[in-house]
Amino acid sequence: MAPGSKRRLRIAAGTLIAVTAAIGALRAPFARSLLMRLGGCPMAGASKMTPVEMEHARHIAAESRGTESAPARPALRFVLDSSTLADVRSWESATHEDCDDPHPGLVICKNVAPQALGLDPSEGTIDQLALGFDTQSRLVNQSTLREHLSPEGASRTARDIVATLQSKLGPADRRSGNFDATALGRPGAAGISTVAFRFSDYMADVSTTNLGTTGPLLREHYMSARD
Amino acid sequence: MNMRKLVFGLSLTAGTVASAGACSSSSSPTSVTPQDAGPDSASLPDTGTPVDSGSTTPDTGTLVESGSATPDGGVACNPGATLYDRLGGYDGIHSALVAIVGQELANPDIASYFFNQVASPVPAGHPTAEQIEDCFSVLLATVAGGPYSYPPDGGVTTDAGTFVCRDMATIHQPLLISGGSFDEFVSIAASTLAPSVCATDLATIGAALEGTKTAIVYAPFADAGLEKFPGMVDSGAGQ
Repeated sequence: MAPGSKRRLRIAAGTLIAVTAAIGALRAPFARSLLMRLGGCPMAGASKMTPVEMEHARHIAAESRGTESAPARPALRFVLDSSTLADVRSWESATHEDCDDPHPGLVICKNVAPQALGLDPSEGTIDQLALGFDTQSRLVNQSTLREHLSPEGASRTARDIVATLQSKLGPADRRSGNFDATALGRPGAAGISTVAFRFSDYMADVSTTNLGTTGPLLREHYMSARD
Repeated sequence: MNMRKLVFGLSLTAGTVASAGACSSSSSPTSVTPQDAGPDSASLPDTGTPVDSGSTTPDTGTLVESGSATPDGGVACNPGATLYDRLGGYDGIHSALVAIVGQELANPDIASYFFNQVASPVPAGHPTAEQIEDCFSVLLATVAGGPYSYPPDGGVTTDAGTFVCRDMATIHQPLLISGGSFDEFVSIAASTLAPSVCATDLATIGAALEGTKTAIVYAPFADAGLEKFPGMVDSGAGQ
């Protein structure tokens, strides 16, 4: 091969590697927000979601609201209908949490330390914290998920959460199971416990399941039911 | 006989969803008709544990709480009926699906997978939330031993028009759903059903749901946890 051809081949190969690396880097989580600002990640169908559509989904969900206004509207660290996206950004920066925006109106944080949410360290790391915002960038929806908990840990944490909610809200509107550690240790229906609080302006849910693959799983959900 | 009716789940009935507007939901406009044949080969085994006597329940639009409440707040099973009957027939199953969809949409993460259904208007070629509820109702009615088959001939027809129900893989593979996100979805569905469905029937339904996992989850993400960017799809794809 002629020296010129070898040089062109090396340049072509180098360019290909560089472009491939650049594309790979742009698909990494840290670059997604940049892509979003540049017009949207072509792979992210979720980027189609707008706060208007998020609100549409929340309003459908809020059809199961209750009739009485809530005596309190507890949520983790933030205040529903009051805390803003800017507040969450400040919190994220101050606590060095790992958060991203899959699309406008949604912030998802991974592996959140309980202390960052004002919780006792014994409650364990929150695998996922999802925060939904309305069209004015006010927090209206919050959910947490903890996976691979020990049955005892899931039982203790769930019961603490439920006790706290009941002290502020009164008895749950619906419930099933009693968050028993022995039951939580068995995959399947036996491990399902859930409580639901329903008010005209607020909804809260706490539930545990054991799907086998996840081990005991604990979910919390706090949502504004205001229009 | 302690048979009594229970408005399902979170009182999220078809009528209340209808008031939400674009996702109006009611079993009445659906053109799905039961088949003459009895339970087909896709039926789940009727494994309900007898606790309380009961009888077959007619379709009433509500999910049946078949027996007496258990000490832990659960629901006892009705021994005298098929799973399809215990769930309240098609209308009871439909009410359950409406409640489940409502709870899934309440989760800001999972709701992201329904980006087509909360768009206004729903993009052409994609089902409305109501059509999804109807398709899944027929699917669950079929596997529960009801006189249906999936996919229903002629699709499902709602106010938004007719939609031909598709198989699980076709619907979900473009969404690149991870194993972790699937588990979260199932957890929400199971928790929604738990206050109204007895544990044995819940286990049966859960096993049926788990059985769809390989068709729904994108294989390379099967062992992945929750997706940081839910609903990752190629442009225009998705359910």
